[in-house]
Amino acid sequence: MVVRRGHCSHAGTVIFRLLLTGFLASAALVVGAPTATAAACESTGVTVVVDFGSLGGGVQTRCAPGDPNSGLAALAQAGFGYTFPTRQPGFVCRIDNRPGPDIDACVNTPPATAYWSYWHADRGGSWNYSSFGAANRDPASGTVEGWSYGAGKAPGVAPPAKPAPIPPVVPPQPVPVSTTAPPVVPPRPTTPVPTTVAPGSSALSSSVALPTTELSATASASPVPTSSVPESITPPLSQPEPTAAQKESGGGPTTLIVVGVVVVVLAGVAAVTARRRARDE
Amino acid sequence: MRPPHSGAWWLWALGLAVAASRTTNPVLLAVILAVAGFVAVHCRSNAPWSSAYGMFLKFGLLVIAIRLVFSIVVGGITGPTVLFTLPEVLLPDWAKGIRLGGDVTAEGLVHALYQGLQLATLLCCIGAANALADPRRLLKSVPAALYEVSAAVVVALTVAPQLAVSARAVRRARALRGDAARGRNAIRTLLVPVLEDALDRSLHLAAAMDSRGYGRTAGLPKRTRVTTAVLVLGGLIGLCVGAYGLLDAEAPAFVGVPVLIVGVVLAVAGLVLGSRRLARTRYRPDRWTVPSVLIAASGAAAGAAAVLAEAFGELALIPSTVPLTAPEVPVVPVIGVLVALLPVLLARREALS
Repeated sequence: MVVRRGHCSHAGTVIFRLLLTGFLASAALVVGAPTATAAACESTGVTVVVDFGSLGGGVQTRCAPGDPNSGLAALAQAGFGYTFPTRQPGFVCRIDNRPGPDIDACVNTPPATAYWSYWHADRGGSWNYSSFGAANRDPASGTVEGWSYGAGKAPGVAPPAKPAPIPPVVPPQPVPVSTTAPPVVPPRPTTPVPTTVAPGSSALSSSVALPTTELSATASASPVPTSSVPESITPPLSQPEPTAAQKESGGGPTTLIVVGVVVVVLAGVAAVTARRRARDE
Repeated sequence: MRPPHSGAWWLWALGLAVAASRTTNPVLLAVILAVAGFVAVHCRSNAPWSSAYGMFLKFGLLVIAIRLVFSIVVGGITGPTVLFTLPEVLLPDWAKGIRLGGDVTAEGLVHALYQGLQLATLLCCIGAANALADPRRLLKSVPAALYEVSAAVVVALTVAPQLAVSARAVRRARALRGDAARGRNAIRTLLVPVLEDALDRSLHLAAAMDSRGYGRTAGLPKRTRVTTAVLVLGGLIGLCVGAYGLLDAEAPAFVGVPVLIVGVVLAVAGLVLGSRRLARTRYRPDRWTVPSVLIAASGAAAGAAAVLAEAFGELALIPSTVPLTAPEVPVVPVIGVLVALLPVLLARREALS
């Protein structure tokens, strides 16, 4: 199950072509059974919006198909990897391995000024700060989940609105970036020009309610550094990357055995001595 | 040869406790437990309270068991590896943050085990201090001017060793009467007499302190008394608030260091004022001999190694539980904790000479 995405430089050409033909296309290609798509959901599924804020990478919108039973499951099924801080699992300290270990070592709960805040919304509604943890909240199918990095600010784009209920139309030409054309939806009449969300401008556009169409969501999701995009959707949890300190001092199996022997010898001798002294007294 | 200063044993144990508080790595915690137990067994005297370590060890096992039961029933940390599923009690919407029953995951259990082990290790460090340090000699070294709080300090510091002594005495008395109850029956028959006896002993000790001038109010002008009380209590409150302000990132800046400094100044002023009116002589006071200093330093080394390793970004101190990973050995803190075995060498050298 692989999600392929158009290259950044192709996105512009795609938009123009589609404008000319009057169609919107999703750049995501879904192979086989329902899986994460790099756009807001159609009618069912939970749309997941991740705003990387100051970390760079803009706002990514993807779809977790079906009805995930928790906010974390929705995040994972939408193809985002997340990491818990080791001392306090349950919080989310990294999404798609960001922020990196240079900003947050992911050991303690992140500070209130730079953390992943968790939001939820109805399609086309407004963001609500979740009063439940992401593991405890069961998002309803057809709603939007938001994750925003920073000091608890809502994601920089409005929750994507519902797509217009018009049956999909097959485009006449295959789109160059995707190998097969997925079902596409024509633009809603109220949206004459689709607006794209550039990664750098996400902070600026936070107050502007963008016309949220399939294309804008797609375009915002596509210009992503390829290193952070999971090729496969399967691993829900990402490992914290080992730092130099860990590599240096983390002893191998030999150290573990040596330390284990030391502990057993100390405990054994202590037990024997304690017994002897208890008998003597 | 005189036994080491009681304060040295407490500093040694607190150093180990600092190391334990910085880590949930089961390997490092096991090393701390083993070192504390080894030293407690080898260096203890034949005093009645010196079996305190065993008592704390059992208490630690109880803590781990309680932590595991709570993690199974109430949950909290969950991961993808579901071991078994308990019937879940559906709670109303306003209590959705709490889960009763449901999936029990390996990640949640291991996390609870690590945390329980950490708490048990902290308890055992205190247990080692209780087994090694003579509580009465320690009280002799307490500044005479802990005047207003002395009775509370006496009861608090001696209740654990007194419990150990009482448990032993009561069990022996029952055994002599032919009642050698063990296990759950023993708890039922021993609990009340042991608690009563321990409380009696602590009260006796407090009364003895009183008769020696601690907390004495007679023959003092009321103004001095009130001034000292206000200074000492105000200082202690300042210390508490300041420490809280330092630890809480959200607290306004003036609550942290400034309040702490004001608290220290008030407390010191109160102690100085209090000790001036109390002339007390000491019979054979404990001295900070070279072995005492070395014992305290070896414990401090264990704590410092863990704190420094954490400051330098040693990730192995807190092994990841979600996802589950095999704990690695944090080498520097382990070496630091092994340094805390030094008291055994000192005791051996003393025995030879």
